[in-house]
Amino acid sequence: MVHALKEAARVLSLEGCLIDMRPLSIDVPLEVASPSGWQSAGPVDMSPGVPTDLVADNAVLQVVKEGIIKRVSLDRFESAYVWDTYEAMQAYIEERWSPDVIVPPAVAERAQSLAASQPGGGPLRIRLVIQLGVYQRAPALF
Amino acid sequence: MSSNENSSNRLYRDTEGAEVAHVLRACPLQRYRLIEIGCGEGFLTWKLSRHAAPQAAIDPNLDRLHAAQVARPPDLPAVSFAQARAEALPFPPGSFDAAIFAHSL
Repeated sequence: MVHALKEAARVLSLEGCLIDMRPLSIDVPLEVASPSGWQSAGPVDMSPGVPTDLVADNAVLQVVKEGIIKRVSLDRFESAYVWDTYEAMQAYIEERWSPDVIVPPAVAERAQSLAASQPGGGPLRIRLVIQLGVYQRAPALF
Repeated sequence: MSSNENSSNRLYRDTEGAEVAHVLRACPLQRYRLIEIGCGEGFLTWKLSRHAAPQAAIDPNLDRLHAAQVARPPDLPAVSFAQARAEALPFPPGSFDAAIFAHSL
């Protein structure tokens, strides 16, 4: 990751903008839509992704420490991933997010039950917490 | 609401447009030559291309690059896609004014 960040800095003009936007491994609810609004089936376990988060954070810190980029801002916001059905969500998680994201069995069972009570069997959503770091290319040579 | 769809799953990502809105608030891409590092299937690529100056996007996965190219909206100019790793970008120094890692660092 350090190497990737340095490569990105290399192709940037001086004072160019480097953006690091990624979901954080923070447990968030799995929700199912209903006529009365979104209902929570319980939290999704994001803990397996925490070590990766730390490696990425440390990589950014190292490149900042070396004076190659400097931090401009660091913010968080939510971004929703929505699926039409429980099966579509399950397939996506298995294909794209496994093993960093786990739907605990009790949460899966409740989500399936809630979805089954809705016409069309959904939709379902996970509102990820997204971290947005903005950095500026600094003059350090490397 | 935009979707990534294949035979086994249908996903609507960032249904409220939060990602693009926050990126644009943080960085005025309208004037910037932008490179997206790890573009995947181009979900964010095409959204950002509505706001950025000529853009490049790289990804090491050829299948996802192809999907990104195919997903081009007809009203948008072409993006220069290249198969490459983030650790070895095929561009000279100072080629871009902004670089984004979106879910790819």
